[in-house]
Amino acid sequence: MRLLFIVHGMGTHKPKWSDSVTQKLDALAAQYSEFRDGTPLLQQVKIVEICYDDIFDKQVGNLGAELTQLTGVLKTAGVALGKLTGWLKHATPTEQSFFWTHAVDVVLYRYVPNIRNSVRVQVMEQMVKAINQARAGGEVVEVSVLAHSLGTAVAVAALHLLSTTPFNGANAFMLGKDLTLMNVFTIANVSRVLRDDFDPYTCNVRPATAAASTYCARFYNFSHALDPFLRVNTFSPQAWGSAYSKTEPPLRHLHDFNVHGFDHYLDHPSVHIDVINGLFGSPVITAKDRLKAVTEYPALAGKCLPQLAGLGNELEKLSAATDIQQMLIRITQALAMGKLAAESCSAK
Amino acid sequence: MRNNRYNVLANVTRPILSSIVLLAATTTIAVAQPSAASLRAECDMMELRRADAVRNPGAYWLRHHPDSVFASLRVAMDEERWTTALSRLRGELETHLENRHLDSVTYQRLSAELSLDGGLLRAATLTPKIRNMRAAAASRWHPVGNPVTGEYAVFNGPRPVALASAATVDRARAICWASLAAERVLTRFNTEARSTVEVELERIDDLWDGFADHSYAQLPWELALNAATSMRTGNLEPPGHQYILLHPEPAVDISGGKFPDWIRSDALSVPIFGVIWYNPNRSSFYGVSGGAVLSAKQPVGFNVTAMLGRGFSVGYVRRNPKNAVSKSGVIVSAEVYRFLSGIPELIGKRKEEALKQVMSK
Repeated sequence: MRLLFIVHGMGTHKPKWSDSVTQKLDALAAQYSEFRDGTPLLQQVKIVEICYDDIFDKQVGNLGAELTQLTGVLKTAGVALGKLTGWLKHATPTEQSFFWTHAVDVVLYRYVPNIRNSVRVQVMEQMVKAINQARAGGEVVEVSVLAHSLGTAVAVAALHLLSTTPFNGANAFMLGKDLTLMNVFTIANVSRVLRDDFDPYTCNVRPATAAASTYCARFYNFSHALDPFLRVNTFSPQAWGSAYSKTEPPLRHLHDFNVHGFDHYLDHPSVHIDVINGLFGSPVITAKDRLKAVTEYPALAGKCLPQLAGLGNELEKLSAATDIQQMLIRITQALAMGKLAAESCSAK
Repeated sequence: MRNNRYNVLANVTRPILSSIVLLAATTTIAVAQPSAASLRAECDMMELRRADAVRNPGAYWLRHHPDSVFASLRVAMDEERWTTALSRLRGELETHLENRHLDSVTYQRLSAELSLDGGLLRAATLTPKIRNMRAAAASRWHPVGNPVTGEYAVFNGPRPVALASAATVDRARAICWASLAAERVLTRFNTEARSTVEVELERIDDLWDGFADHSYAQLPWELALNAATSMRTGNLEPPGHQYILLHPEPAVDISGGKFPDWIRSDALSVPIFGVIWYNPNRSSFYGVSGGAVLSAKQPVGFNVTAMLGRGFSVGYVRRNPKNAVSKSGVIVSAEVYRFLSGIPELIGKRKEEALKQVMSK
């Protein structure tokens, strides 16, 4: 059995949030003969969604979504938040809304240890439960993870903890024992900028060619040149070897108003073909078909091309962030820009 | 027909014959060499089962199929006879060596890896309880495919047993099938240890749920203090205790006389410092704090407060008697006050009802 955990990023994610991603992946796979003429992807891969957004929901509710209180949290956590709070005071209502629905998840995860640990435990529990179910009776299961945005930091941290912690004395999930992930696919990887108590470059969640003993066989890093999330402390490990793969140069396509979106990344052949071939550990989509798909994939496509092109120009102009505060401001601005462009598109 | 052909061949010159034999030999090798796609059919468990539905690998290979080997060991595994399982897995390798499907170097490597698992399997046969805690290194036996080349490697890492696309079907089967059988047996061996992890994670997750629902709220500076003092790296459970620091709370100040002559006033209790301890499942806490009380009708007082859960808080207040109605009093949380003041009302109500009943008779 092949098991693929899909881990969400920031924003609102209720149960069944992954349905759209799953359907998208299945539809994308069906473009290629292996799945169009053979067994569909979803009959060969069991997708398990990972959900931890309820923890943020509860915390934001407890905090009463009060800026002053959140600011206090961050200040006392040793972070000066002049830039963020100053900007937020003058932000547009759309930007403020995106801050509270999206960016605040990142803030809480990074700066509140109770939330961080609670999220990691919940993610580990969901993964272990699904793996145990799949492995019942000694079944062979290939496990992969596909994580997006904040989910990259969450997944890497949860897996690292799983690989280093004996639980009630049992070492089943520790490094080199029962579990070695086949693939860790990271989309818009922010694990470096959100690092806290361990370094994603030296933790166990590295590809097999990075160290003598690692927790995954292959590691993928997909990035987009216009994604403001990736403009500070970019994830760029050195000497991880041939089992580490990254989009080089970064993607530049614009097919949707949310450049940072999970689906938007996945839509690109350089992303979904690597994910599919990685899942099967085999070039089920051939190098020739891959080249054709990538070459024919338009840089700009979708509804309202002028608005999309305009959004691209606006995103290009956003200056690179120098720290996590600026990164949060940029991502909130980018989301708001995307929403405005989408509204302008629907109005026409 | 065949004899005629050989007769013709016997008449041609020796170099031509040699060339034909060589061509035939290479053709045979080429047929036996699987392409990347067929390597997948031998080394990918899911693909292997799918391929088995449309092919018959023959009696020899059917006996050595990972599912056949696993099924033949089911009783031994159920009875915790792990050394029997180990012997059968070793027997698989020996058979492949004897039949020249494995070269001696690869055999020795696979055999040595099996020996590494042997110690644990022997110990588990003698003491089955250790399976709950100590897992075998099952994952290293998994054949890992390369998504670019389609080649496979067992013991993926610095010292792999690699299967290039030029490998024969027999070699691919000998390595991958034996490895998959070993992986299945060791995965089965690890069942208890995996379950132990799952149960423990469920317990910790429940603790976090309890903590989120029942913990004493923390103000930002308390979050920082508690994060710095109690959240140690590697400790995944919610904190068992928590410090309170400058945490203003609404309260009810009661002083002067006995009920119903209480002087009740709204107050602000400001614990300067306190500690609370959580019960083991984080569904409640108890604690003590000391601080100041600011009341609308009374001068500033100093108090020691005991807490039990989110709603219950009772404190003794001491004031300077010069300006105070009384030098001592109590502060209680709003919930406690409602409870205290509600009881006499309830008693009165019940008395009234009882009296009515008596009068009506």
